[in-house]
Amino acid sequence: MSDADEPLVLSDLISRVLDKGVVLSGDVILSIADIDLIKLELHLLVSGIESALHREPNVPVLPDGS
Amino acid sequence: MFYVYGIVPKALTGAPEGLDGTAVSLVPVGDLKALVSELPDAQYDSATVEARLADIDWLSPRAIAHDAVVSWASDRGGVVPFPMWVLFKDRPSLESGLAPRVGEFHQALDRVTPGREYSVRVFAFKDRVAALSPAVAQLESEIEKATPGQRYLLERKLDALRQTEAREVSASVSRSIHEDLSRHALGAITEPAPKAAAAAILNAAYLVSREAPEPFQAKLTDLIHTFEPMGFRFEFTGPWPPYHFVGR
Repeated sequence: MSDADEPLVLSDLISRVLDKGVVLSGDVILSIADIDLIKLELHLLVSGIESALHREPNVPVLPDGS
Repeated sequence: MFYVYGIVPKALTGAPEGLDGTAVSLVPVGDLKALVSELPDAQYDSATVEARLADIDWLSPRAIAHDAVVSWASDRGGVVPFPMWVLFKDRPSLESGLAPRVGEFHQALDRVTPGREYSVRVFAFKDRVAALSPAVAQLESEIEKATPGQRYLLERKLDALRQTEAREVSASVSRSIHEDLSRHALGAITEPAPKAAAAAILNAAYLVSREAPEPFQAKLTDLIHTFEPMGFRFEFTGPWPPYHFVGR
Protein backbone atom coordinates (compact mmCIF):
# COMPACT_ATOMS: atom_id res chain seq x y z
CA MET A 1 0.00 0.00 0.00
CA SER A 2 3.02 2.26 -0.05
CA ASP A 3 2.26 3.59 -3.53
CA ALA A 4 -1.28 4.40 -2.60
CA ASP A 5 0.03 6.16 0.46
CA GLU A 6 1.72 8.86 -1.58
CA PRO A 7 -0.27 12.05 -1.73
CA LEU A 8 -0.92 13.05 -5.29
CA VAL A 9 -1.35 16.74 -5.38
CA LEU A 10 -0.65 17.22 -9.07
CA SER A 11 -2.82 14.24 -9.89
CA ASP A 12 -5.59 15.71 -7.77
CA LEU A 13 -5.17 19.04 -9.46
CA ILE A 14 -5.40 17.52 -12.90
CA SER A 15 -8.41 15.38 -12.10
CA ARG A 16 -10.13 18.45 -10.67
CA VAL A 17 -9.48 20.69 -13.64
CA LEU A 18 -10.34 18.00 -16.15
CA ASP A 19 -13.58 16.62 -14.90
CA LYS A 20 -14.99 18.94 -12.27
CA GLY A 21 -16.44 22.38 -12.56
CA VAL A 22 -19.64 23.59 -14.08
CA VAL A 23 -20.91 21.47 -16.92
CA LEU A 24 -21.63 23.11 -20.25
CA SER A 25 -23.62 21.41 -22.90
CA GLY A 26 -22.81 21.38 -26.57
CA ASP A 27 -19.61 20.69 -28.41
CA VAL A 28 -17.36 23.20 -26.74
CA ILE A 29 -15.94 20.66 -24.32
CA LEU A 30 -13.60 18.00 -25.50
CA SER A 31 -13.99 14.48 -24.39
CA ILE A 32 -11.82 13.77 -21.37
CA ALA A 33 -13.33 10.62 -19.98
CA ASP A 34 -10.59 8.25 -21.01
CA ILE A 35 -7.60 9.95 -19.47
CA ASP A 36 -5.55 7.59 -17.40
CA LEU A 37 -4.41 9.51 -14.38
CA ILE A 38 -2.25 6.71 -13.06
CA LYS A 39 0.79 8.00 -14.95
CA LEU A 40 0.74 11.05 -12.77
CA GLU A 41 1.98 9.04 -9.84
CA LEU A 42 5.47 9.58 -11.15
CA HIS A 43 5.19 13.30 -10.88
CA LEU A 44 5.15 15.78 -8.09
CA LEU A 45 4.47 14.15 -4.76
CA VAL A 46 3.92 16.48 -1.89
CA SER A 47 2.38 15.78 1.47
CA GLY A 48 -1.17 17.06 1.69
CA ILE A 49 -0.61 19.30 4.63
CA GLU A 50 2.62 20.68 3.28
CA SER A 51 0.83 21.51 0.09
CA ALA A 52 -2.01 23.19 1.91
CA LEU A 53 0.47 25.38 3.72
CA HIS A 54 2.26 26.03 0.49
CA ARG A 55 -0.90 27.12 -1.22
CA GLU A 56 -1.79 29.48 1.56
CA PRO A 57 1.20 30.11 3.80
CA ASN A 58 -0.53 32.54 6.14
CA VAL A 59 -3.36 30.30 7.21
CA PRO A 60 -2.09 26.95 8.45
CA VAL A 61 -5.09 24.73 8.26
CA LEU A 62 -4.01 22.41 11.00
CA PRO A 63 -2.71 24.61 13.78
CA ASP A 64 -1.96 21.66 16.10
CA GLY A 65 -1.97 18.76 13.69
CA SER A 66 1.03 17.04 12.28
CA MET B 1 -9.60 29.91 -30.01
CA PHE B 2 -11.08 31.48 -26.89
CA TYR B 3 -10.35 29.41 -23.81
CA VAL B 4 -12.56 30.00 -20.76
CA TYR B 5 -11.29 29.32 -17.21
CA GLY B 6 -14.44 30.24 -15.35
CA ILE B 7 -16.95 32.91 -14.42
CA VAL B 8 -16.41 35.67 -11.85
CA PRO B 9 -18.35 38.65 -10.50
CA LYS B 10 -18.24 41.80 -12.56
CA ALA B 11 -16.18 43.73 -10.00
CA LEU B 12 -13.07 41.58 -10.40
CA THR B 13 -10.19 43.17 -12.33
CA GLY B 14 -6.66 42.25 -13.31
CA ALA B 15 -5.70 38.62 -13.80
CA PRO B 16 -2.52 36.55 -13.81
CA GLU B 17 -1.10 34.85 -16.91
CA GLY B 18 -2.95 31.86 -18.27
CA LEU B 19 -2.13 28.88 -20.50
CA ASP B 20 1.23 29.24 -22.28
CA GLY B 21 1.77 32.56 -20.52
CA THR B 22 -1.06 34.20 -22.43
CA ALA B 23 -2.89 37.22 -21.04
CA VAL B 24 -6.20 36.52 -19.32
CA SER B 25 -8.91 39.04 -20.03
CA LEU B 26 -12.22 39.54 -18.27
CA VAL B 27 -14.95 39.38 -20.89
CA PRO B 28 -18.42 40.60 -19.90
CA VAL B 29 -21.08 37.89 -19.95
CA GLY B 30 -24.40 39.37 -18.93
CA ASP B 31 -23.68 41.06 -15.60
CA LEU B 32 -20.80 38.69 -14.88
CA LYS B 33 -17.37 38.20 -16.43
CA ALA B 34 -15.60 35.27 -18.02
CA LEU B 35 -11.86 34.65 -17.55
CA VAL B 36 -10.64 34.17 -21.11
CA SER B 37 -7.36 33.57 -22.98
CA GLU B 38 -6.98 33.72 -26.72
CA LEU B 39 -4.96 30.73 -27.93
CA PRO B 40 -3.54 29.95 -31.39
CA ASP B 41 -6.16 28.08 -33.46
CA ALA B 42 -3.66 25.65 -34.93
CA GLN B 43 -2.48 24.37 -31.54
CA TYR B 44 -5.81 24.37 -29.78
CA ASP B 45 -8.41 23.03 -32.16
CA SER B 46 -10.38 20.10 -30.73
CA ALA B 47 -8.57 17.38 -32.63
CA THR B 48 -5.10 18.59 -31.66
CA VAL B 49 -5.97 19.02 -28.01
CA GLU B 50 -7.70 15.67 -27.84
CA ALA B 51 -4.71 13.97 -29.37
CA ARG B 52 -2.37 15.47 -26.77
CA LEU B 53 -4.50 14.96 -23.67
CA ALA B 54 -2.76 11.75 -22.71
CA ASP B 55 0.65 13.42 -22.94
CA ILE B 56 1.24 14.24 -19.33
CA ASP B 57 4.23 16.48 -19.98
CA TRP B 58 2.08 18.58 -22.28
CA LEU B 59 -0.99 18.50 -20.06
CA SER B 60 0.58 19.20 -16.65
CA PRO B 61 1.77 22.79 -17.13
CA ARG B 62 -1.55 23.66 -18.76
CA ALA B 63 -3.54 22.11 -15.92
CA ILE B 64 -1.42 24.00 -13.41
CA ALA B 65 -1.95 27.25 -15.33
CA HIS B 66 -5.71 26.65 -15.49
CA ASP B 67 -5.83 26.01 -11.75
CA ALA B 68 -3.66 29.06 -11.05
CA VAL B 69 -6.09 31.38 -12.86
CA VAL B 70 -9.13 29.90 -11.13
CA SER B 71 -7.33 29.90 -7.75
CA TRP B 72 -6.37 33.53 -8.24
CA ALA B 73 -10.06 34.34 -8.64
CA SER B 74 -11.06 32.11 -5.74
CA ASP B 75 -8.55 33.89 -3.47
CA ARG B 76 -10.39 37.11 -4.23
CA GLY B 77 -13.97 35.91 -3.92
CA GLY B 78 -16.41 33.78 -5.81
CA VAL B 79 -15.63 31.90 -9.00
CA VAL B 80 -17.46 29.30 -11.03
CA PRO B 81 -14.60 27.10 -12.24
CA PHE B 82 -14.93 25.50 -15.65
CA PRO B 83 -13.24 22.22 -16.41
CA MET B 84 -10.33 22.46 -18.84
CA TRP B 85 -10.92 22.76 -22.54
CA VAL B 86 -13.95 24.94 -22.77
CA LEU B 87 -13.00 26.47 -26.11
CA PHE B 88 -14.95 28.75 -28.42
CA LYS B 89 -13.94 29.56 -31.94
CA ASP B 90 -14.57 33.31 -31.63
CA ARG B 91 -15.92 36.03 -29.34
CA PRO B 92 -19.51 35.95 -30.68
CA SER B 93 -19.77 32.19 -30.14
CA LEU B 94 -18.31 32.63 -26.65
CA GLU B 95 -20.87 35.28 -25.79
CA SER B 96 -23.80 33.42 -27.30
CA GLY B 97 -22.62 30.18 -25.69
CA LEU B 98 -22.36 31.61 -22.17
CA ALA B 99 -25.06 34.28 -22.06
CA PRO B 100 -28.00 31.85 -21.69
CA ARG B 101 -26.29 30.36 -18.62
CA VAL B 102 -25.89 33.59 -16.65
CA GLY B 103 -28.77 32.78 -14.28
CA GLU B 104 -27.24 29.43 -13.50
CA PHE B 105 -23.80 31.01 -12.97
CA HIS B 106 -25.34 33.44 -10.49
CA GLN B 107 -26.87 30.59 -8.52
CA ALA B 108 -23.56 28.75 -8.47
CA LEU B 109 -21.69 31.89 -7.37
CA ASP B 110 -24.17 32.48 -4.55
CA ARG B 111 -23.65 28.93 -3.40
CA VAL B 112 -19.85 28.78 -3.47
CA THR B 113 -18.68 32.33 -2.77
CA PRO B 114 -18.88 31.97 1.04
CA GLY B 115 -16.55 28.97 1.03
CA ARG B 116 -13.40 27.35 -0.25
CA GLU B 117 -12.85 23.71 -1.03
CA TYR B 118 -10.69 21.34 1.01
CA SER B 119 -10.00 17.75 0.21
CA VAL B 120 -9.69 15.02 2.83
CA ARG B 121 -8.57 11.49 2.16
CA VAL B 122 -8.27 8.82 4.84
CA PHE B 123 -6.31 5.57 4.63
CA ALA B 124 -6.37 2.59 6.97
CA PHE B 125 -3.42 0.45 7.98
CA LYS B 126 -5.38 -2.78 7.81
CA ASP B 127 -3.59 -4.84 10.43
CA ARG B 128 -3.71 -2.13 13.06
CA VAL B 129 -7.33 -1.37 12.30
CA ALA B 130 -8.27 -5.07 12.45
CA ALA B 131 -6.61 -5.25 15.86
CA LEU B 132 -9.27 -2.84 17.14
CA SER B 133 -11.95 -5.45 16.63
CA PRO B 134 -12.98 -7.42 19.75
CA ALA B 135 -13.71 -10.46 17.55
CA VAL B 136 -10.12 -10.46 16.31
CA ALA B 137 -8.75 -10.12 19.84
CA GLN B 138 -10.97 -12.99 20.99
CA LEU B 139 -9.79 -15.29 18.23
CA GLU B 140 -6.17 -14.37 18.87
CA SER B 141 -6.47 -15.42 22.48
CA GLU B 142 -8.12 -18.69 21.43
CA ILE B 143 -5.19 -19.35 19.13
CA GLU B 144 -2.74 -18.88 21.98
CA LYS B 145 -4.48 -21.62 23.96
CA ALA B 146 -5.03 -23.92 20.98
CA THR B 147 -3.19 -27.13 20.30
CA PRO B 148 -0.78 -27.09 17.34
CA GLY B 149 -3.34 -29.09 15.36
CA GLN B 150 -6.15 -26.63 15.91
CA ARG B 151 -3.88 -23.68 15.46
CA TYR B 152 -3.45 -23.99 11.70
CA LEU B 153 -7.17 -23.77 10.98
CA LEU B 154 -7.71 -21.02 13.49
CA GLU B 155 -4.93 -18.95 11.97
CA ARG B 156 -6.50 -19.18 8.56
CA LYS B 157 -9.79 -18.16 10.09
CA LEU B 158 -7.99 -15.25 11.72
CA ASP B 159 -6.66 -13.99 8.39
CA ALA B 160 -10.15 -13.91 6.94
CA LEU B 161 -11.58 -12.33 10.05
CA ARG B 162 -8.91 -9.59 10.01
CA GLN B 163 -9.89 -8.71 6.46
CA THR B 164 -13.61 -8.43 7.11
CA GLU B 165 -13.19 -6.66 10.43
CA ALA B 166 -10.73 -4.15 8.93
CA ARG B 167 -13.30 -3.42 6.23
CA GLU B 168 -16.13 -2.98 8.70
CA VAL B 169 -14.19 -0.84 11.15
CA SER B 170 -12.91 1.29 8.23
CA ALA B 171 -16.39 1.78 6.83
CA SER B 172 -17.79 2.90 10.14
CA VAL B 173 -14.82 5.22 10.85
CA SER B 174 -15.15 6.67 7.34
CA ARG B 175 -18.86 7.40 7.90
CA SER B 176 -18.25 8.97 11.25
CA ILE B 177 -15.39 11.20 10.02
CA HIS B 178 -17.48 12.36 7.08
CA GLU B 179 -20.48 13.12 9.27
CA ASP B 180 -18.35 15.09 11.72
CA LEU B 181 -16.63 17.14 9.01
CA SER B 182 -19.88 17.72 7.10
CA ARG B 183 -21.41 19.31 10.17
CA HIS B 184 -18.70 21.99 10.06
CA ALA B 185 -18.85 22.61 6.31
CA LEU B 186 -21.15 24.52 3.96
CA GLY B 187 -21.10 21.62 1.56
CA ALA B 188 -19.73 18.09 1.49
CA ILE B 189 -19.29 15.47 -1.17
CA THR B 190 -17.73 12.02 -1.28
CA GLU B 191 -16.58 10.32 -4.43
CA PRO B 192 -14.70 7.14 -5.30
CA ALA B 193 -10.96 7.57 -4.79
CA PRO B 194 -8.87 7.83 -7.95
CA LYS B 195 -6.86 4.78 -8.98
CA ALA B 196 -3.68 6.25 -7.60
CA ALA B 197 -5.27 6.40 -4.14
CA ALA B 198 -7.55 3.42 -4.47
CA ALA B 199 -6.92 2.27 -0.91
CA ALA B 200 -8.55 5.37 0.57
CA ILE B 201 -11.46 4.58 2.90
CA LEU B 202 -12.73 8.15 2.57
CA ASN B 203 -12.28 10.50 -0.36
CA ALA B 204 -14.20 13.69 0.23
CA ALA B 205 -14.34 17.40 -0.57
CA TYR B 206 -15.72 20.02 1.78
CA LEU B 207 -16.78 23.58 1.12
CA VAL B 208 -15.52 25.43 4.20
CA SER B 209 -16.45 28.95 5.23
CA ARG B 210 -13.77 31.40 4.17
CA GLU B 211 -14.71 33.79 7.00
CA ALA B 212 -14.73 31.16 9.73
CA PRO B 213 -12.77 28.03 8.81
CA GLU B 214 -11.72 27.44 12.44
CA PRO B 215 -14.48 25.01 13.49
CA PHE B 216 -13.69 22.78 10.51
CA GLN B 217 -9.95 23.03 11.19
CA ALA B 218 -10.46 22.23 14.85
CA LYS B 219 -12.68 19.24 14.08
CA LEU B 220 -10.25 17.87 11.51
CA THR B 221 -7.34 18.27 13.92
CA ASP B 222 -9.40 16.52 16.57
CA LEU B 223 -10.22 13.63 14.26
CA ILE B 224 -6.58 13.24 13.26
CA HIS B 225 -5.53 13.11 16.91
CA THR B 226 -8.23 10.55 17.62
CA PHE B 227 -7.84 8.25 14.64
CA GLU B 228 -4.16 8.36 13.68
CA PRO B 229 -3.08 6.48 16.82
CA MET B 230 -5.65 3.81 15.92
CA GLY B 231 -4.09 3.12 12.53
CA PHE B 232 -5.65 5.65 10.17
CA ARG B 233 -3.78 8.20 8.12
CA PHE B 234 -5.14 11.50 6.83
CA GLU B 235 -4.23 13.39 3.68
CA PHE B 236 -5.40 16.87 3.36
CA THR B 237 -5.15 19.48 0.59
CA GLY B 238 -6.57 22.93 0.00
CA PRO B 239 -7.76 25.53 -0.31
CA TRP B 240 -8.96 24.71 -3.79
CA PRO B 241 -11.39 26.66 -5.93
CA PRO B 242 -14.86 25.13 -5.50
CA TYR B 243 -14.44 22.58 -8.32
CA HIS B 244 -16.70 20.01 -6.63
CA PHE B 245 -19.50 22.40 -5.74
CA VAL B 246 -20.60 24.08 -8.94
CA GLY B 247 -22.11 21.29 -10.97
CA ARG B 248 -22.52 17.60 -11.41
